[in-house]
Amino acid sequence: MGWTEFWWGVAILGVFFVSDLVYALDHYLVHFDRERYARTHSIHHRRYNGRKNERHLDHSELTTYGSAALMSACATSALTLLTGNPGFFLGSVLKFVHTLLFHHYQHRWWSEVAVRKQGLPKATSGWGIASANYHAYHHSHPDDLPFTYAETWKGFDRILEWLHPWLLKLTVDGQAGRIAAKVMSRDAARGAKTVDP
Amino acid sequence: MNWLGLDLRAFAAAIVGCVLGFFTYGYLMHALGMESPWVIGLMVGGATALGSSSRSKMRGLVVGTLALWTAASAQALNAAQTPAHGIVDGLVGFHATLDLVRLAQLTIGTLLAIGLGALSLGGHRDGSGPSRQAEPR
Repeated sequence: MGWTEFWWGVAILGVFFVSDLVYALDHYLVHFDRERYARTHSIHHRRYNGRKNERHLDHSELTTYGSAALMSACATSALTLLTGNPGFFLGSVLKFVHTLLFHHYQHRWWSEVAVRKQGLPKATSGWGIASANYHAYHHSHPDDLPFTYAETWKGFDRILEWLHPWLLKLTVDGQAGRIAAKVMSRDAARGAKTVDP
Repeated sequence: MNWLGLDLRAFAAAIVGCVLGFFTYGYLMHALGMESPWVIGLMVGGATALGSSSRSKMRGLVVGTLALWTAASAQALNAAQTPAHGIVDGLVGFHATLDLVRLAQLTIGTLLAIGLGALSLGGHRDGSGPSRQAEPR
């Protein structure tokens, strides 16, 4: 592999990293924005928290993922044009495909039994890849520790837990005073106990 | 159709803007010797604004991208040395032709397209005033 292919790879990984970061941050923010949550993301939680009665990836989800992919494609196509590195645009295409496929894996627990009745173990805090169980915990306990907002890399959740006392003040709910004054300290976040599956 | 605030009418207007901008750039280049890729941004953004019935920041992003690629295509085609070295080769090697002046003009054109493309100057089908269109989620 030459340097050209190396920089293509760097660009692809960079797009994946930034896209995952943006997803995790936006997911965190929507959970602390009551109106926006009710208008948009709550549909996803209601759908997958109940019994499976439809196919995965309905029109709403495809629109959400597709809109994000289109925004990413706009920015990465410009970067590809101006740098000559096709890795940027290729990264956004691969990220879109990854998102669709990973969605199926992360929601594979969706069945005749509602997620809260399945008795799934608590998500494990860590710095690896967000598993299906990790995402199931997000659906059954969206407001509990550990944070489970990340799509792929759990590390973003660890970072959000650390930044939460300050980030909270910037959220819509935080600014509207809807969240109690309790500050989640970094020690409290680190002290959250988990049960290994 | 609704792609990030871009409905069919706005999309058609954006395409018309791209075509007009493409040929305006060529005219300015050959008749007056002026290289003005920012004109493309102005025309694409302006046409989209005229064809849009509501404001949308996300539409501005799409329109800005269209303007950038149209400007790059216009420059690539007008700079083609031989028929064999056409627009595709020009776009693949476009980054190598960038200097500070060109980059600045492209940036200005793209920002114009983003800003104008997000506006709504086309009035509303129901005669009401400008209003924010809900972004597709």
